Amino acid sequence: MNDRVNTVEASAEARLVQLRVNGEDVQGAAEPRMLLADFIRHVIGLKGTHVGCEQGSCGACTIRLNGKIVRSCIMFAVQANGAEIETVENLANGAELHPIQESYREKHGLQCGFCTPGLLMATQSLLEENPKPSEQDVREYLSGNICRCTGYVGVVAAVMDAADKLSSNSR
Amino acid sequence: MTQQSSADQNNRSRPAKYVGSKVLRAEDPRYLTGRAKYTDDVDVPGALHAAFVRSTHPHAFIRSINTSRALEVEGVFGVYTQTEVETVLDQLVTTLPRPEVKTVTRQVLDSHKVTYVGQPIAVVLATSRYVAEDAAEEVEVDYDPLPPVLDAEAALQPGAPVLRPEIPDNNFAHIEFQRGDIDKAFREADHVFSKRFHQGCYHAAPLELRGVVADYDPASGDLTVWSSSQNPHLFRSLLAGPLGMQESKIRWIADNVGGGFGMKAHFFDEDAIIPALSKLVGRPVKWIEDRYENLVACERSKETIIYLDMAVRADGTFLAFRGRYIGVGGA
Repeated sequence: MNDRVNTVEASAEARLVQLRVNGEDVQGAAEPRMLLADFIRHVIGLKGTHVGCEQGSCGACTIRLNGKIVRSCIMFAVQANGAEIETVENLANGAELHPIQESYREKHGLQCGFCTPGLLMATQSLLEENPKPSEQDVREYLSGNICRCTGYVGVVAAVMDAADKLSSNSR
Repeated sequence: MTQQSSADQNNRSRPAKYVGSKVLRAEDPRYLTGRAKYTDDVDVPGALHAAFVRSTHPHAFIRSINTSRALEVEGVFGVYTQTEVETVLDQLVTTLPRPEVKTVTRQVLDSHKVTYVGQPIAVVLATSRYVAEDAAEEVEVDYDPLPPVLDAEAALQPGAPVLRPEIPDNNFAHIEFQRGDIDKAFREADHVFSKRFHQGCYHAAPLELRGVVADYDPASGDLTVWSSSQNPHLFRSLLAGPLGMQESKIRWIADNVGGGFGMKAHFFDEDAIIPALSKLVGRPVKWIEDRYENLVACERSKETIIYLDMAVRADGTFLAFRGRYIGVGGA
């Protein structure tokens, strides 16, 4: 029969994948077809990155790979070998929320929370590229992240508030 | 102390802290830090992963299901059809507390007849979802296609293909009611309008896909179910009967749910099949749907067709409505 292996395939096809995730060196086994999102969630064990479509269309799986935001559901883990990965778990400092997270909370930029990690990663990337975005800039940059709950008004307000927070922090 | 005086005392001594104030949500930190626990975040050691074989026909008999090639895929624990599942899962009875509504009694996993594209026919259990899907593709289903029923009004015509033998006219609820003197209102109306309205079905499309994790412990007879659902108490009740279990032996956990919008307030076939499989094999079973399954096999809010006559006074006041309302319940 089959041995009682939990969750993750470990077969002759598996390769070693080594990553630096949120500043920590990690490694695990992945078959070539294992999605990076599944690797992060089930091999590394970081569940904050979510899977909503497996087609690269909803943005719930957004992470940062070597600084750039990517959709981890349409990448293979083996493609990311050697990369620096940042996930939503990298934002808060223990119980202390990142200013972007505080803004989302204060401006009610979330309801069910499923799209939130992806939006937070994209927001962080946006504000690094464009510290003083207009509302239109925000809507365009975040257009790759679908939210089914909020209608985006609170999201945009949160990002504008975070921009203010971060620019006043850096003065 | 009278009620009035204690209220006065409260008003004086306790300023409003919450009512009328903007209050931060208590639950946000776990969502913001990625620590919220959705159903796919539940890991039970030793769990088998499920993938469904789903109908590719809207209406068909199933002549046979060949699982031999699927069973040869490495990592497959088993492939299950109605034959195996019905040994632990009795029929589901659905009805509404109205005399006009017909009761439908059916097998939850029906491997003999399909009435919609996406209907579950068989289930593969394997060491991972990847392997389970490999095996699901190897299951060979021999269909005997029947004429599809795609239009609600056509379905109500005599001679239309019959989806369920217990509902020979495809109408599971014919309800008539009247309030007020309709005929008088129409006689006295300044204007009478007639119009056909058609509203298509909607898909809730929550961002978090459906999922069920079931852990049946053969030693104690206790069942724990984690599910992305809006109605855990009701679902526990609905599951207990067909599984032949007391409700007190079932713990149904809906932890964090990534959107439902009504869609997840329905008890799906998968909500019964996954726990049944766990009971059958004596191991935890995990199923998370993918977006294809959600778009094809999941319930939508119903399509409605309305023929409406409206009696109206010259100043625009509505006096009366008379109409025929068709609600499409789906397969």
